[in-house]
Amino acid sequence: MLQTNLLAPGHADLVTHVTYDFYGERLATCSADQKIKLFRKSHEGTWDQETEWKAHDAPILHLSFAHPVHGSLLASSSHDRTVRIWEEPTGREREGRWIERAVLTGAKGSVKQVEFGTADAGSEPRATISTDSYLRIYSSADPSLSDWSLLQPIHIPTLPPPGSSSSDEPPIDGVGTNELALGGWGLSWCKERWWGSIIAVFTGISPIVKILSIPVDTSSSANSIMFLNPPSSSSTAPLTSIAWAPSCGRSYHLIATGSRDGTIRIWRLEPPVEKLRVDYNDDGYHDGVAGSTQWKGDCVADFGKGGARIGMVDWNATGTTLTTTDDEGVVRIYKPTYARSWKLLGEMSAEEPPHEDGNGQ
Amino acid sequence: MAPAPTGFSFSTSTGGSSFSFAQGQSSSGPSTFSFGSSSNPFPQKSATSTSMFTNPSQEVDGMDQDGDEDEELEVEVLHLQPSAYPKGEKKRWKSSGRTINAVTSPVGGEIASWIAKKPSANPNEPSTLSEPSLSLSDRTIFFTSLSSLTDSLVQLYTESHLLFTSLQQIVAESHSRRLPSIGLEKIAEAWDRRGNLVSPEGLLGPPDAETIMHMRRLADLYLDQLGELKANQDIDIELRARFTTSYNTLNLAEVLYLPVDGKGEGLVGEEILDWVNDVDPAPDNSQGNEIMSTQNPWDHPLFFPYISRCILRGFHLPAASFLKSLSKHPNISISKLSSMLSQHLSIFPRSTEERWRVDLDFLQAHKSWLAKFKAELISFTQGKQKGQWFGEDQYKSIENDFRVIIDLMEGKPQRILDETSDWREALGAWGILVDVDMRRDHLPEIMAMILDKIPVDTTIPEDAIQSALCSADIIKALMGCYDIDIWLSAHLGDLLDKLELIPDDEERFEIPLRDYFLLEYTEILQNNPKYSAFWRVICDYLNYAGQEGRNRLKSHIMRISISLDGQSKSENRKTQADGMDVEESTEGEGEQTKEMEEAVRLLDEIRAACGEFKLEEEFKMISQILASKLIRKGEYGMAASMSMMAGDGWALSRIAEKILDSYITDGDEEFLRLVDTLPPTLLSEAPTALAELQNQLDPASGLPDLPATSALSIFASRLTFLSELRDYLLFLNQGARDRAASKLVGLLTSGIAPVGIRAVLLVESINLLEDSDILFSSNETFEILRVLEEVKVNSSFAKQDYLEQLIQYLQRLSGDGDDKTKMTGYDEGYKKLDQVRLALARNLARSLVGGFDSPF
Repeated sequence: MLQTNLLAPGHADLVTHVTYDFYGERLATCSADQKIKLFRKSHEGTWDQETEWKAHDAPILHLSFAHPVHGSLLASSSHDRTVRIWEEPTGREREGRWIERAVLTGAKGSVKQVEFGTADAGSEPRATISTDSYLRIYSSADPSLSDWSLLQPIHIPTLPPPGSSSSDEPPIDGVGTNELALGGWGLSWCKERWWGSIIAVFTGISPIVKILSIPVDTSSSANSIMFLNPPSSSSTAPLTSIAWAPSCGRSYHLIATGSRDGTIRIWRLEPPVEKLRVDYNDDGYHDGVAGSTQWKGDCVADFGKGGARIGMVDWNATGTTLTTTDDEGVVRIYKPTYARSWKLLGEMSAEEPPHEDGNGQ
Repeated sequence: MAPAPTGFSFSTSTGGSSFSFAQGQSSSGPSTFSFGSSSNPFPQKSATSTSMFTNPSQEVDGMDQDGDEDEELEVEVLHLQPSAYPKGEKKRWKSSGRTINAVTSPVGGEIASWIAKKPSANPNEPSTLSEPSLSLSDRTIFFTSLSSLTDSLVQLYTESHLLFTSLQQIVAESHSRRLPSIGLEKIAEAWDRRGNLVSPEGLLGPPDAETIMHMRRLADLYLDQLGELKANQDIDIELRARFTTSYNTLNLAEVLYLPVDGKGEGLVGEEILDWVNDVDPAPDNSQGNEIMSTQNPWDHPLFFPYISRCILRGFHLPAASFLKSLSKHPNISISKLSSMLSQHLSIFPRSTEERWRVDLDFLQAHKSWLAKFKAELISFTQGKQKGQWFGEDQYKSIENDFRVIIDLMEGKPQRILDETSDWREALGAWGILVDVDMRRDHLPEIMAMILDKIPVDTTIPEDAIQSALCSADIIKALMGCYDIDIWLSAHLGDLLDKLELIPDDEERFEIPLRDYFLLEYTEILQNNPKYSAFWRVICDYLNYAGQEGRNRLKSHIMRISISLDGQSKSENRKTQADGMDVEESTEGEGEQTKEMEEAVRLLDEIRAACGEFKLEEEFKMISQILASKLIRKGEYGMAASMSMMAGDGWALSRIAEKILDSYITDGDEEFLRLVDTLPPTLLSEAPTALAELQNQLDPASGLPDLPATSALSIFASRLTFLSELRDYLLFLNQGARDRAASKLVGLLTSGIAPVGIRAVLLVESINLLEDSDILFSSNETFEILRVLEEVKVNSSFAKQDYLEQLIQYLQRLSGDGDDKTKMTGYDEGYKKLDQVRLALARNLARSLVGGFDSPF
């Protein structure tokens, strides 16, 4: 583990989010100074600024690059309750700011996170989660990206669990102050399209991760697939972050969550398997919901309880290392071992290193 | 915790900590970095330290619970620079409202971290800091890498790649060669016990002797590489030690599992002894010289131990000559015995001697040697009591020394175990002294005996691995390799797996051990700053690493960046035309051409790789992405080639539209230039394809027969139109106005013109209609009139579709900007179309009056 580089992005306030593009060659940063800046990696490995522009009227919270098959698109979400979609200008308008293609409104709170969906030949779903606890999914089938439609916003706290037909409680708009102060809001798309558009979401002070299937056409509504309830022995602290690992064609999926009390959980999800042959020992009909669209989820790791608030969790491209941060100012990197336990590979700290003996101070 | 494996080495000895903060471009290698535009001369400090870490307690089912809970682990801590706060001031820093965040790069394993604000109590309000002034660290994004590769590792990883792929091919070929011979050709596929489909290769069993001999040759080449590296004095000593361990381990595995004859039925003792002598040379020659140079060598305290060591290590002739020096001993019995021993030792039969035709000859010879030796010994001792051999008491101790040597020569197991310094030496001696008939199959049993008396020092990983190899405990050996060197576990695991020596352990593990090690190795290649240089190497390893490897290969190849979208050539031309610094941009162009060439070469390689690995879908998507980038940059020619590769007809049609747009907005010069950038075959084949398409029209419905249409033919009409329009413009430019006129009629009447362009073409016709020569026949004129009527009628309800482009075209001609409103634009459009009608009427009159194809 070594520090390879550093970059002074030159924002007038602290950086709020950083994101890499699909190829890891471009970096977008946003800040409380309401600006987005873009950097490109040079052959020497340094990051050179390409452009910057004022993108919102309040601190920007989150950025997401689209899969390149959808073009060169960046989405930003902000305290100003909007999501904006930006497109890279063509050659002629180079060096300039990116072109604003859409301002997506509707949220009644700050939009905490925005994330483009995965590559798809058709429309491009993307999701946002805001502090009003609604999941909003917008899509644009129009190549000029001028026309955006919003799927029916989904109120996550009152979403009926899988199997039940509808919710009895009507969605209550507005979130209590306690929930606002302690809650967290986050989402992460399943990185594969095989089962359709699947997204994991959490809101407010609930420790439950809800897995939803998002239909392709905007007229039908989303289905909940599974609720991931923390194991009984585990912490019920509100969640702060979530990341769905790229599965790279493995037979299972991994989802990592971070909590307010430092708990990190890793969930292992097994998608429904197509039955090609009869297996007489399988009593799948007895455990839970019957049918072939059955996902199974197990919590395979649960640690860190009682620590500092987890700022974020993030997987690498193969879903084989997990990076976490916490309010102690420590970045940790975990890796599964061959025997399926999780090993801490290393830590990074922003603290000044201890002085070496005899080396003067 | 075992030393960190290769790729995840936390060592900073690789030069990664030599930060340089020089202003501007950093000219040094990748291990240094510069701080963009600002110059911040941070003091150079060691950036790593170690802290104790308690393993996350694992409370949940499915976790590894075998006792390593709460195990104290040493975890390397990297201190980011510039640091955010001095040691001991963490509390203050935290209470200021700051925290740290990080994201992972999708390639290269880079992690970007930055100082952020903690969320505020009201998440709808921006967070605040109690100390709002931004420190240096607040303004920094830190980049870290999990691993970095030294040049020597890069060398090893690059060179062993070719050997690895050859090995895969050789074994695959041997499978296909053997399949028919054992009658499996009829079994296309088979099911294993668990109901999984297995290929016939899985039923073949271990490779044949010939293949094993090939494999040995490749293992030799791996060893050559490691040998070169371990001898290279320029390499860091720690790394060199690792190369040495890998060399010794791989060498032992070769001796044991890749026998020279491919069968491994022969005697193995001498080979193992050679390996022991190579790994741990003894005895020391200079020590021997020192002993022999003394007056009475036998008085030297190390005289007899030296002889024992020589015998244990198979150096029987030196041992014999040492013993011979005792013949000068004043005691006649000692002198006599030493001569006898020396003589017998010098003829001790060794299996490596060339005089044996078969192993049996050697075994017989050894047997008779031993019998003769024992007989002569009895005749010497003549039943003398212990301690009485040499009569006088002062020679009691020398008698003991002689007994040691005699026991060793006779191959008494207990004596050998007593005299050897470790299990390795014992095993080496065993095969030439105790069990001269030692075969590979006997090793586990012999190892058990040896280890019972001389346990392995488990704190030395190398010993644990090598003894496990000798005991045929393959999984333990490979796990040990994995802890010290991931390259070794990947390549040794691959070899042993090919020999079918790795037992399945599906209960514990999800994927085969070999695949797991290969994937781990590939991660090292992927997660380091030099990853892009390894992209092709990564492809090969992933391709051979089972199903999961194949799946990772798909996402790996998609993420290789091809910078065809760097500043394009056409753009450069524009810069020059704008009168910018011409000299500089010319220089830049050379550089960019080079860059483009490199990108094109990379693309070719990726295409070849996708072909080789059967990743057609992935390549289509890569082409599609590149095409859309190129379209955006105005590189239509290359975009069209990419779209053809992607089979993306929609993109081709979009390119055609874009080029057509350039005619409307930029004029014929730009249009002709862009058309010429298209691949010539695309245009030349388009009319044929279009004709084919039209032939396929179903006469009843008028719809094309869909399955037979290729992407190219669907969009052939657009491309045909482009090519026809080009011809028209060229005729016009060359002054061939009559030919231009007939082309124009063709364009308007053949139905291939997009609706939006028809109005433009009609306006284009005015000039030709008003020509002093009559260029259009009355029939042609009627046809144009028909098109005009159609456009006028349709534009009444689809104004934008039919007239938008005409308006743009007119604006270009008049040099106007966008200042006109749409309505006046449309009015002008209609006016212009009226002019067309007028011109048509005039032309009709002229053509009729002129008698030119008069209907009358």
